[in-house]
Amino acid sequence: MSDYREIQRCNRCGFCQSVCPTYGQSRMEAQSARGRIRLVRLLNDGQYDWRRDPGIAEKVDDCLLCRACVVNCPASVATDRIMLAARRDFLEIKGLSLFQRLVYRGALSHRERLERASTLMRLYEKSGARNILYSRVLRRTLDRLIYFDSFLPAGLEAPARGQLPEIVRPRGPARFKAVFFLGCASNVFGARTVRSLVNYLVSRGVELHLPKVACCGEPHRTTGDEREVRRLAAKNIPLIFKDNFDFIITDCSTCAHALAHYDQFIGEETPEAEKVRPLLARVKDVNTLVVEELGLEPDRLRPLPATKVTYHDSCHALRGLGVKSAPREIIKAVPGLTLVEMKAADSCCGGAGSYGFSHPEMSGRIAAAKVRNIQDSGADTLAVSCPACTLQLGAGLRRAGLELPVLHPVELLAAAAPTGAQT
Amino acid sequence: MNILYPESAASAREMVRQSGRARRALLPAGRRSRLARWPGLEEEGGAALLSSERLTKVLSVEPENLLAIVEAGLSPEEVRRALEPAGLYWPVSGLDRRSLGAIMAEGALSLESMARGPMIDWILGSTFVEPSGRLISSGGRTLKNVSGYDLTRFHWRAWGSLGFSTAFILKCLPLPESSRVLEIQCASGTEAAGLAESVILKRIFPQALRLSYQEDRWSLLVWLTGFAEYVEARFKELRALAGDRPGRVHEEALDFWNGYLARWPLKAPGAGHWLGSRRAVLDLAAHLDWPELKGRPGRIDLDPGGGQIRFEGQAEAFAPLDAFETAGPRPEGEVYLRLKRGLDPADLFFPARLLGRQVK
Amino acid sequence: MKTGPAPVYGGSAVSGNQGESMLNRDFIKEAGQIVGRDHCLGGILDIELYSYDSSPFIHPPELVILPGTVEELRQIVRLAARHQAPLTPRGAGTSLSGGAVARHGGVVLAVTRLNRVLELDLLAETVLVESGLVNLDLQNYLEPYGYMFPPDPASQKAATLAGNIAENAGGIKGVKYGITKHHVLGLELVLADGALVRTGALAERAAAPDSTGLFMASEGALALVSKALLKITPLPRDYRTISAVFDDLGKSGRAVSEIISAGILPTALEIMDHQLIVALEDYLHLGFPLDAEAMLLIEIDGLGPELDRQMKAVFEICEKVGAAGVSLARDLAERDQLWLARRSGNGAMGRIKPATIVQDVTVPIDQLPAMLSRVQEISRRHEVTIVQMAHAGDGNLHPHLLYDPYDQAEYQRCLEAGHEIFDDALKAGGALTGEHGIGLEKIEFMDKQFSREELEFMSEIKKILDPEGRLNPGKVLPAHYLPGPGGEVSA
Repeated sequence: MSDYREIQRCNRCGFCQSVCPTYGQSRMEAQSARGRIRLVRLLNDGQYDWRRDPGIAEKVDDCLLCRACVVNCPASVATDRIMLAARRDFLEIKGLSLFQRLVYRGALSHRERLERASTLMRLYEKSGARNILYSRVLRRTLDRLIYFDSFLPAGLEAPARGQLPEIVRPRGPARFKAVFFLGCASNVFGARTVRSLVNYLVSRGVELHLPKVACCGEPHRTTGDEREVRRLAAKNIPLIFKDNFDFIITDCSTCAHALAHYDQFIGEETPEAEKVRPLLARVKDVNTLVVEELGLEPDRLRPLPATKVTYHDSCHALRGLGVKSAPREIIKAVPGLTLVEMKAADSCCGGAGSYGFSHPEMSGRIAAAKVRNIQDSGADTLAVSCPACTLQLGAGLRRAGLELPVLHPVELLAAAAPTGAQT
Repeated sequence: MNILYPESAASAREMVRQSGRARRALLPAGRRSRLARWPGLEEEGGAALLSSERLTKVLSVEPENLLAIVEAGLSPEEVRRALEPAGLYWPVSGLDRRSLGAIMAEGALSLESMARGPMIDWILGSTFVEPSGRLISSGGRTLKNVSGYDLTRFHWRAWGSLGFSTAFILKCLPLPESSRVLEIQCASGTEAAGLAESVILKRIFPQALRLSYQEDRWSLLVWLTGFAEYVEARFKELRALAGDRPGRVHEEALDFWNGYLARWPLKAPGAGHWLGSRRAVLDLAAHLDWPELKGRPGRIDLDPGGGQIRFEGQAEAFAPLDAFETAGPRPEGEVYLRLKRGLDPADLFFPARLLGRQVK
Repeated sequence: MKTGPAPVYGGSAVSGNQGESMLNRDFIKEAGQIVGRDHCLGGILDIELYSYDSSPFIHPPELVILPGTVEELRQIVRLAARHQAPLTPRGAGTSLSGGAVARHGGVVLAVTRLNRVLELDLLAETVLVESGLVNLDLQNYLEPYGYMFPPDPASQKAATLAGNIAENAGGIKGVKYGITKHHVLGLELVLADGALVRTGALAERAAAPDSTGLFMASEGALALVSKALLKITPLPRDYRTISAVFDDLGKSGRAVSEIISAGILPTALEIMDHQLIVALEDYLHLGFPLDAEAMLLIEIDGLGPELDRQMKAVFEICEKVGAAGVSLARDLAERDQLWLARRSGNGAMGRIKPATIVQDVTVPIDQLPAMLSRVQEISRRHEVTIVQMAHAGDGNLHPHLLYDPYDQAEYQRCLEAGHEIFDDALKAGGALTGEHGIGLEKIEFMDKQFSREELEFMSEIKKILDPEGRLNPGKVLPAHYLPGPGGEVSA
């Protein structure tokens, strides 16, 4: 305790600030000898307690023990001795930390272990192993891993398939019957959206069937894998192109675009194509369905908190199916939401299905450009009608450190709907 | 035109109170030289000038404390005459025809402003009557005094609109042993400006530095004061800088300056008197060499230290108007306006409607 | 009205007096968003660390905010205006009068991170700086260019320009070069309502009235300074540093008077008394004579030949007055050591007794010898240790009244001795404070130096610029002249 007599001499002149390296960097009183001494003084006076106020230990630990303050202190207060005494006291109460046990008692206290460490270090250097840290391969691998990780949305739910029955009937008479094509991306990554859409449509009187379909085949088609495309189409056609369905709907515009051209998938000259062709017109993107077939009923909508929403046109929706105004009408119809257009809303997000994985560089750059446009638009929510675009833009936003919610336009509508249809 | 001549601080206070009660506008004036014909004054039937012409006592001279206490109606020349026998020097020269109160009100720049700062830096304290009629003493007879707020300095350049000064405590220096002016002839404005810049950058630190142009001739005027050896040493440095340019030495510095400044009689505020940065002033000297100028001033006095120029002639012909600003009252500035509104809500002390008139 | 510290030196701020909260959660949250959570501190330990400065006063704030840019500073002030939060501005926290202590809680707003040099103009001989820049850092920046910023308070190692301006700091060079207000050409300020204004040479109009001077020595109670345009002065070419030793304190004072009357204006004239000499010798081991009653440090600057002549005159005067020894510093190293010693005076007192009341009275120069003797007499009569240090050249004395913080009786005697010193200084035609400011410490004596009208006038100025009394509440003026949290006047 005698070292604490040193404390009495400090009369708070503050000259230690001029030489303390930690103060020089932070410009904060906690990082100065004067500040540290004061806390230890209060500890000794009984105003604070190591157990109750462990924060003091941190501040005491921040001292470098460089003694610049001691030498420059007009009253020659031995700050280092005060810090050491304080650390001794703290140790008695809290015991050694893991770091202290391993490094101090573990290694430094045992000469043989230190010498062994020397052997390891020399091996590490001579073998060239240290170059791994600086290798571009490692860097790139890490960068790649981080990039892929950015696609994983936070709070991923279990696949939608397991959450929903195969037939969902509305309360009361059905306005029409529709089959909901649950695409791969929607199933695995878009469960929240699918649930919201299904509940909303059913609440609007739609009887929805959700057969266990296979992948629509579009990704395979983009790689040129004709055989697999045909196989998948052959599986799907009997499940969805049935005469008793008024509409074939999906929340994924890629799937919708594929299904709308399924005669090409199965082979245009084939008999199956002949059978399917008249039904192709029943394929509808869900935005279009809501606007044209169900109607928006704006007066029944509750207002949402004031939000600026910008909409991204997925390629398949806009240029594949001609869906442009429907999603925008939906957004505009919800009270509280303001539609703000971003620059080049119709420009591809760079996801292109699996392009984000096969061409990370280019895809990443395109995504970054879209994210800049989203930021510039001033929106605080992004609306997208394609789960692939959602993944891609979600990843872009995450990499840019932005926390913008990404939602399907019909989800926004569902949130404002009077009862029942909740996200 | 009503003129009031208080003969003491107490009587000044009374006059301010009476005017306040009668809601009569008051124009703090020194020797009235500028204010008697102030534009717009004629229409102000009830307004009065409050003159310091009779506040001319030297209250004390204290060489052992390097200070003197004088009333605000004195001129620097009168102050100099009172201080010299005591071996004291007040470094505010070149403003001899104005009263001290007027110098404070206008923020007029002395010759020594460059090296020593303007008059406000040589005031240890003041007594003044503020618009609501209180008599306030600020500062004191000590070099350092930070008790309470500084109530002297905010009157600088306020044209008396925040208070009427009745007395000042002057901070003085010992009389310099040696004082001389070196007049260096230059072939052009560019040369004069370049030489001035060298003097500054070489840290010769003269008492005053002026560029003068008249009768088609340029000269650089450099004033040195201090101990004999010091002045001699600096003088040598200057001579080295001046090279073989012709020059004259004036050993009677104050006489020289009086003669020089006599060519610039007191005119209406802002007439032929502009303010600008040091760089702008030096650039103007070079600019005047430009053959395509529409006209040249008859004569021009450039003061890079104080940041001011005085000239005769049509400014539009030769001056880059955007680099300079007319000297003269400009009742602007957020802090000033708040102070004015708070301290003189009835706007009786040099009302803005009179003060803000642009004077050509 | 008692404004002394708790007798136990440095009791915890937080466990002691804690008034009701003046800040709401929205304020705290928004402030954190403006400066980042690392620089918006509300934890107990952080508050503890910003409850003090270099004075005996300890009061906890509720929140400590350290803006990193002028824009952040302005936003915080605006936020505070919206929420009616009191603000105590702070530089390095080296005030000796309690100026940086949050007497009435609220926010401590520290500008230490605003420490950039923005622009140096060697032709105009000016430098534009952010106000949190440390004085010595500025000097070191200017030195390679051959310039200095003359106001050099003893605390220049730690003190910021913001603090220098708030207290109109003096310094050792004051007698020849003037003090802070003589070297500030313009300011950029944030007013209490968050308005950003520029004065003097920074204002839009060169011809407008110059209100810069009002903020000198305003002790952070009228506005916050964000930037300052400073005049820089060429470094002197040469120095002579002389130390003279006397067997009597009064003689050193007489030497000062005679030097000035002889027309010599030294750069510095500093007096140190016996106790200080002993403490400094203990710290630095420079060979100071331990039996000397007083030491006078004189520095003259200029060019060679004139210096020798002045030096000769100084030697003669000191000998004539009865110096026991006069010597010239041999080289730069010795000169530096002498000034290090002088500047460390305040801190070195810690070696004698841990707690001090530092006084800062000024008297006209011719009253200096008498004042020095009177302080010695007061010390004997009240049985209080008083160590004397003085910027003798401008009549600014620094009696240090030392006490043991656990001795309530000794502390009381110090307070009484201090009162007498104030009275004597005022009677001698002097002032309560030459450079440390009124702060909290000297408020109770303001009505001894000023008339009621003068205090009312100051109160009006305060109300004009800070109608809610939120800037550094409770400082400078007695409570019945202050609006807001520190005062008793309704706005």
